[in-house]
Amino acid sequence: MRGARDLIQYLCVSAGMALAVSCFLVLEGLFRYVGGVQVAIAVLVAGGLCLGVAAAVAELASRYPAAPGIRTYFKQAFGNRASLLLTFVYLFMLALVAGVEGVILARVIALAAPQQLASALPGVLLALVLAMNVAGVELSRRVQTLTTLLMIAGVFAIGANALLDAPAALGAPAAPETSLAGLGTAVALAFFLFVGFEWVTPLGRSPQAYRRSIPWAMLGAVVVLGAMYALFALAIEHSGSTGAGHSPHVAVARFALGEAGIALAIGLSVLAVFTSLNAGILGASRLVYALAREEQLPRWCARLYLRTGAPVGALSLIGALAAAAMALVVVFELQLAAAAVAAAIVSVTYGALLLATARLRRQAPATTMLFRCPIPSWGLYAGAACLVALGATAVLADPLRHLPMAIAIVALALLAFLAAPGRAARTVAATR
Amino acid sequence: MQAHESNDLHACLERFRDLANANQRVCKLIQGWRPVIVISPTDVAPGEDAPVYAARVDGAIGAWRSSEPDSDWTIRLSAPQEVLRQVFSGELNPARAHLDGSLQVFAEDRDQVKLDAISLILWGV
Repeated sequence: MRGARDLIQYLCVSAGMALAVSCFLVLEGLFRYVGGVQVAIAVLVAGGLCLGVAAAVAELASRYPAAPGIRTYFKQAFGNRASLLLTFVYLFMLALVAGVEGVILARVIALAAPQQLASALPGVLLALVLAMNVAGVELSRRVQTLTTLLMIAGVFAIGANALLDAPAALGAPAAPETSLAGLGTAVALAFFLFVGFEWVTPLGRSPQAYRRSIPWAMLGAVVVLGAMYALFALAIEHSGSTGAGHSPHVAVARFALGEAGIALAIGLSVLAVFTSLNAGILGASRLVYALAREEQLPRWCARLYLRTGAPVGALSLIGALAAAAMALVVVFELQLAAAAVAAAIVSVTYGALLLATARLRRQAPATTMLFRCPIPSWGLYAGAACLVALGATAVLADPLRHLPMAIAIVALALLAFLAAPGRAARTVAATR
Repeated sequence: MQAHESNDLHACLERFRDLANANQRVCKLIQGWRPVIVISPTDVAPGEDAPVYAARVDGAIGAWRSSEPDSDWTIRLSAPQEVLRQVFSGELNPARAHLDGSLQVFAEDRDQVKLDAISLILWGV
């Protein structure tokens, strides 16, 4: 009984990390490259690749239970420098996603509230999440589980209602001609829908969690997310919402449930932004704090508020980055480009995780491992190459808009890397 | 595992407790914090039972006992004895050991930061 409860909680944490309102923007964006059923197929293919990544991450997590994710895995597999650079790229990508989340929320709220309130709400939510973290208020696992279940049920209900109960809408924009290149681009961009499912790995409560619960929770989360977004893609086309811009989920909800649907979609949007901002800021601030304690970031990033033990230095840095990203995305209307670049970074990061799994198998074969990914090493290498190619595809889908942003993120990460006080530190040989 | 290593670790944990409880900043940090900290070394010789040290925190860190606690709110640390001894004597930065994968900490994020912060306050490492 306790095992099943733990599994559901881990699954909800994993899925909850990935559930974000900007996913609907990306889902609608896929229709620029392929038609309705192909969008669902692209989502399922990306999900299938993520299943392989989840299995590989589960093997890495069973080698280093409770370790802080990519920083440890990459450090052990590729050394300190490569790990640090990849971790900084990932952190800047998270700030970018927070920016996109804020902007999409503002657009959704503007459908039902005055423009000033809609524009202010993302900033207010960000400030609220930061204040909660400084005050030491954290959502319990039970609350996280309930909110995630509520969001998943809500999205499934809206999608299924639109498909089953309402006749197809007329006058939807014509779908683009199907091509292999278009499908490849759609698969590459669809990676955005799964961003963050692996963030559950540092949260195991015991070593035993890494044998079954966490591996199955990640796999289950990817399956649930894939099914949910594939269904919703079909609902977007069925309801003729492919031109709905920033809020296709609101358009589908209105199509399926009328005015009540709008309220439901807006409520789900606020909940999704709040939980994804909270999970993202919490996870990223702990990673920044750990990097500062490791002397890879300035010492002020490890400053604490003693009354609650909150890492205020790290929270300030992450909050400032998220706010700057929100401002940039709003001013330059970069939401789709930012999501595409985030998808590319995630794709490359997941490729690196597959590579790390294969390298660690060769460098440090573990005699007793809690979980072993069933993919052979050659499959991991092939998967890594495929994911890096998909990352490049996402950037090259619109090189004029995506490439400068991708270069800017890598340049920022490189600057942070060059400024890192302890970047030259070598991985401790004894830990290999 | 040698018996004296076990005794070393226990003595080291007791010194850590005394230092932490005597430090005003640590006391402020752990005010209202009530987990049970469980230390379980991983380097156990075949045929031997793994030793466990557990201390209840409630305004101060309690005495280290060698029994599994009856509590849902636990912070569990696993590592070889030498790593644990170095971490609890201020010789090794716990965050670095955690990032390197040599120290496993099973706890909520906030609890991990608090525990690490005790080391930061006591020894600046």
